[in-house]
Amino acid sequence: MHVRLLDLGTVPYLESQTIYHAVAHAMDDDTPNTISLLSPDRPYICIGYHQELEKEIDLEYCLSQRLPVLRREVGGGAVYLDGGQLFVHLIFHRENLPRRVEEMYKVLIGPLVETYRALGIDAYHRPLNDILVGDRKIGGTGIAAVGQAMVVVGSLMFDFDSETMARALNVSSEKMRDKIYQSLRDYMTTMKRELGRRPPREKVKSILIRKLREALEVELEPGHLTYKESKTVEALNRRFLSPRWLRLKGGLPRRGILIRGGVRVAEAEHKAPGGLIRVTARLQEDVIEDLTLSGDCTFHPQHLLEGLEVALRERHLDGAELTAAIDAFYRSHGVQSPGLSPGDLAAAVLRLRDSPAP
Amino acid sequence: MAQAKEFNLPDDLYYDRKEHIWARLEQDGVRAGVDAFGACAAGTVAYVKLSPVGRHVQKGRAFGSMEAGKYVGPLKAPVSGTIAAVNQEVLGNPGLLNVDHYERGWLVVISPSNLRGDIADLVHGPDVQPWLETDVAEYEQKGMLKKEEERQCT
Repeated sequence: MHVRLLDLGTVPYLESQTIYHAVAHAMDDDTPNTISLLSPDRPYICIGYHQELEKEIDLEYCLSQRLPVLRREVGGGAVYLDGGQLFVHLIFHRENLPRRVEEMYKVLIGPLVETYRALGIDAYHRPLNDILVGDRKIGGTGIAAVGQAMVVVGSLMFDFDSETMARALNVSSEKMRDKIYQSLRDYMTTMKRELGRRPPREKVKSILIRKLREALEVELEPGHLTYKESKTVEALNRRFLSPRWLRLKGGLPRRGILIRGGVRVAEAEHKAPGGLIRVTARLQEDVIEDLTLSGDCTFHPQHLLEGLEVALRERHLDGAELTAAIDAFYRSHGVQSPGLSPGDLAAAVLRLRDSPAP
Repeated sequence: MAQAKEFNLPDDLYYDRKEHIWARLEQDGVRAGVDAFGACAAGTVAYVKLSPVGRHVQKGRAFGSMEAGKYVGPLKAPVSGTIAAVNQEVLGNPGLLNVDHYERGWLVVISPSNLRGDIADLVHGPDVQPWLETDVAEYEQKGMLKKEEERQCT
């Protein structure tokens, strides 16, 4: 059995999405299973199939920075993509991949992990679909059933621009944005960060091809797009730029911004008799890692607010635990906050559990 | 009831062999959803999008899509016709697809336009058990299903 390898180097940003979609859409019984390797020629933002453009992205910012936005047919959230990433796409006949999504991820993530390891980076697969180094995520993955094909996408991360990623998202406050940026810095890593330099692209690609060949137990035959696939790329180029496609309605629920599996940044508000209290936090599952309180309530002495934020770290999103911790802090520090009880603060923090995308 | 491993498929329903979509013939139309095997394969469903009532759908074409663990897949109509009802409950609680496949987890009701022709290639009755066994066995042989004790599906 052989698999066609489309080693396409750097391609126009739009085609970094439309090529693999086109191979999938054009797939018929005669199409070989295909792997494409490519990078975009400029940065862009890519939203998931079920996301809504305006809800997810700060379009004004993207426009001002000439940062294009595309929608993919693969799931997940908005991501910043650029030439610092090598995209890997498996476009296979459905019957040649595992049926279970969980198992499909392993087919691609295995070789990606092995590639990192061959470079001296201690990467590992954390199910469902994260690749981690320590507790930091390196690269992303996703899957879509497109036509006759199953498409498994992933990337090898040479470098990453966390600042632009955080800036391009549509968030409710700058506090939230700061926390997203900090969380991306804390919970994402790259080859450059791990190795102190960007390894040569050709070397990485050559290792990846070897690892793919070994894992899939197939020969990878260099190939090119067929006429039918090229025409499909052209058609998809038009479709992917059309306002109708970009502004498809969706409603994928997000409880905050997912940084990596299990880690998210969320924001919630609670209206207390004394005013509004806003909580911005980074959560690991249901444990508060970092938290910022703001709003228009009176909290005296003001300088102790930071102490309360620290006191809530490592606490679970549990009403009794939070109320007890806040009560204890109030008592030991003589805090006065008219119209804002410890119960109100606990209620605000608890809302992080179900907070929608900001 | 057909059963293989932990998968239960009522044999009074009709099934699309490839898509694992079930269809129940009712007085008002054909109710459709994802069967236990299909839901288990996808994992925990996070979002379901369905075409609106009144939309014409063709057998084998998508009447919606679902997302689970960054996987997106189409939901393909088992019969052609017009969508007569959409399960609002499952839109708000897509996890129903994983826990109540054949009752609260239904997706749409289709008023069929060619029922007799469309159901001819769907699996039904005594054919469900051997089909399910073959399907499960095929994936096991390919190493594509985890061992039973490792599974989390019900």
